[in-house]
Amino acid sequence: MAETLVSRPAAVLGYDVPMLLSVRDLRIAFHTPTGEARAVDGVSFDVRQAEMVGLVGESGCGKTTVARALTGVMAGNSYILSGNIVFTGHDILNYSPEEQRALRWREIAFVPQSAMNSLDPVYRVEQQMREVLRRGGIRGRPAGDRMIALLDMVGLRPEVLRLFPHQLSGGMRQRVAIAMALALDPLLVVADEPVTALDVIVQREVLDTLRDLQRRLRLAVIMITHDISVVAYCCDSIVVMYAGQVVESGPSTTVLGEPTHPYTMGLCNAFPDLERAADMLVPIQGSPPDLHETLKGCRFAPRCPFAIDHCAQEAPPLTELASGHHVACWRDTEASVLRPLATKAATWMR
Amino acid sequence: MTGRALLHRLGQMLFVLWVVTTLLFFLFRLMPGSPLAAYIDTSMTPEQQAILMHQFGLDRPLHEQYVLYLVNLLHGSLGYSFIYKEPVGSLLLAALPNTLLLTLSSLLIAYAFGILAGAFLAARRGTWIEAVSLPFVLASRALPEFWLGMVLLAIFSFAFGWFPAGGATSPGASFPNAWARFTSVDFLHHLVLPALTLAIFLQGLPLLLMRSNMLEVMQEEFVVMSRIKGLSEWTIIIRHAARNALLPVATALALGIGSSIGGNVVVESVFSWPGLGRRLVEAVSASDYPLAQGAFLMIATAQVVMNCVADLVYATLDPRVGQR
Amino acid sequence: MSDVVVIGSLGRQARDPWFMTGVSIYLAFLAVALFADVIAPNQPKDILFLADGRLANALKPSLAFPLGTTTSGCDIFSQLVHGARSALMVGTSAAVVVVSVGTLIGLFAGYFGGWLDAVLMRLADIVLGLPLLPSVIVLAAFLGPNTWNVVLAISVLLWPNSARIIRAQVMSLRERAYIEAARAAGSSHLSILFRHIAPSILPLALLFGSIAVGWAILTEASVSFLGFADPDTTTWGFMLQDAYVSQALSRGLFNWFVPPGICIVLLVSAGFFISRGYEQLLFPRLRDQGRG
Repeated sequence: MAETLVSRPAAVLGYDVPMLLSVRDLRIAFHTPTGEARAVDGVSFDVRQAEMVGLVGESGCGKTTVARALTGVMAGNSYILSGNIVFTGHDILNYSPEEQRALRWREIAFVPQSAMNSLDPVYRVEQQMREVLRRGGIRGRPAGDRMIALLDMVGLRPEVLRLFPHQLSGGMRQRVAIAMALALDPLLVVADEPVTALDVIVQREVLDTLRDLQRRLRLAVIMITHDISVVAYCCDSIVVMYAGQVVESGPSTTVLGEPTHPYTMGLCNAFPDLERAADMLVPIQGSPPDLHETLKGCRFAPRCPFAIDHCAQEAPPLTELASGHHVACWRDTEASVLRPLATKAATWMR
Repeated sequence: MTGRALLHRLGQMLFVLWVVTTLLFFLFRLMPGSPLAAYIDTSMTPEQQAILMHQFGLDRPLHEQYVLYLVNLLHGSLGYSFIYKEPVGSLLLAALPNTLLLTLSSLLIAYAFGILAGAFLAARRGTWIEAVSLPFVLASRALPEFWLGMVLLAIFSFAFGWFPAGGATSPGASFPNAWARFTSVDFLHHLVLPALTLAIFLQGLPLLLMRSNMLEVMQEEFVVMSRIKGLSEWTIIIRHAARNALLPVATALALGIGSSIGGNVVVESVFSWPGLGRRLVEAVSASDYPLAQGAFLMIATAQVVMNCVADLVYATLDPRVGQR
Repeated sequence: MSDVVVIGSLGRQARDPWFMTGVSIYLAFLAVALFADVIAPNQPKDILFLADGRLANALKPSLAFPLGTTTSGCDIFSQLVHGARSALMVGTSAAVVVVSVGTLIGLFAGYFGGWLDAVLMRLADIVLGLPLLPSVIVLAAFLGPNTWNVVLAISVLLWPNSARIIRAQVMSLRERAYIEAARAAGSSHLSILFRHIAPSILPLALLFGSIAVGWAILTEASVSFLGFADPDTTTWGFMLQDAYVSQALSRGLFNWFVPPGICIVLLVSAGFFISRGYEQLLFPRLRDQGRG
């Protein structure tokens, strides 16, 4: 039974592409045995139609929490404090559970981190895909055709349908996960660390497939990862998160070519580029703050080599530097001076 | 399971059974008292006794008797009962269906109830229903089955008169054939109390197992993923969670059949149910060791076979195990 | 499962209501067993007479006889109280033997591995393949109707369960760094086994013991009921057999046969309550012997 609740806006080509998703000032907290932890504290970013956005940050920065909030299925002990998630013009946080469920997979799909555990071990790939297609009202022969087409899209042969999850290799599983995510022609695909569990060569192949599909089908994709080189390889724009907040966002070329926030600069140093050999790997020392406490000032200040007194006093707001480029740093105007310093290992030694 | 693994399993099974048979054989032969004590009339003369001993092969050396026993066993002969003076095999075969029917019907009830109740309790985690039910369920596993049988008998048979007090059929009842007998109202009427007793005792295991499996499975990633896919709650719980949670329960069922056949001994005694267990008790009390041996062997075989079946069942239901 | 976690969690268990209930029940029965002679007004096997010389048989509960009397004139309450003593003795001794033997075998099989492990586990497989109650019956009949023979028979059949679990635990501990260090320092195998590994598995063994007590009591009761136990001792199982044989059921003498059963249920449940948190650990799915 096909339930259409949200009418799809017509795709508009050109520079001024409509905003598919707008997250505004999202705050999410967790109940933990040691108290409340604010995993997401005022996150805002946009995703345009057919845009590939990389949401990058180290583990614990809140990116997965944001991703799960988008799908509407959050961890049992987490809850949304405030904010908006505006999808195709409607704030889905105001939706009833039924409306939210209708949205799932048909409009917003999800590619999990480790597809091994995300597929039911006792059913074949075919049965699980049929189950998903049934939600879109596709059954029988049309379903069979569509499954083969989907697998073909991700570069898999129809024989895969007869297999059980444990019979697939890591790369195959991720491709199956991608194929399943595309089953109902969603507008947005949220991919949570889709290639982290794979080895480098397979990573590249899966990313190529994903990028190719994204372009062909004009999908919006949010790629969540801690590896900035993945983002560099295939994303149109980047959102950098730290300790539950956005510290920098904007088009990839800008953010990677002219990183303005010190954390972004540090990240660029920490990972080898997929296409070029790394000159030097410089890890950022220290660790993120404890999110149970109310934090004062810039959260990155304790680890920042360029921090000044003001940083510890007051948290910098996310300001728009140039069109589409946002940064939260008091010293954003000095970025061109700080950038070359940031590439030196000595700067980061404490 | 591959043919090779199956063969290996069968070999293991046969080995265990052989060890059991041998142990049994020597155990009974070494028991104090003359083996024919039950059989021999005190009025018999020593010559008559000697003839009997010879007939039963008891005057031969022990190892010869053992070999003879094994040979007979392979030919399907379990010897002659001292008390009943009939072939052990036919006596046991008459008792076997009674035990099987009792076991199977009680397990069916126990597992059907246990699975549903277990899933229900898993869904009611943290509520007062759970807090109240769990102690009872645990206590049900602490019940001596024969005592439960006694209480049920006293209440429903003697006090209320709703059910007969024992046996599998009313005395004097006759039936054209075995099928008619087992499907008769009389038989079923007699079956109710013993089956219920066993079922109450047995349901604790599938219930607790199902409950803990469901709780675990609901935390699994693929269940969370099903929710993200927007599948209905019904689909998630039945098609995914329950299906996965049932695997160990199905195995437990197969194992349960095996261990129940032997464990029914006491219930069969309370209700005078004419099954294998009762035969065993009778035989051991009367030192009728061919019968005792035969009954024990049959029970042990059933258990070992069902253990093997349990592994097969698990291998079939869990595709991860089946392909090796 | 790390050793530190187990010991630490035992402390947490102490505040758990299940644990406390189980322990309280045990302690209550222990007290009754210890002071049986004081609590019970009569000797369990004494045939009693009323003031007017008649046999005090099948009497309803009264002040003189809190649970009434049996058809032979014995005081049910006294029998019940003394039964606690037998139950705890049988249960505890069987549990001690089962757990000791099982632990030792588990320790050796798990630590040394190789052919010793193979032989011991094959033995365990054979024993596990035997039907519990029929085997105990046969053994008890063979060894003679004596409570200790029943304890022995039960122990012979129940040790594999604990042995397997201990063995698995030992095998995982064997590879730990501190064991390697001890070996490198030159400690002998036995010293490592008993000074380093054994203490870590002790909590597990104790918890298994609490369940084994229950199993032993239930098995002994069944064996007594079937008439294979020592007629000179008073156990709850024997009381039930006596009641059954004396037509207590048809006579509706609930005061006779209900209390012993309830006592058994309480005492055995106590063991389950204590181990509830560890039930997952102690009953591996595929090989649950189930008390059938």
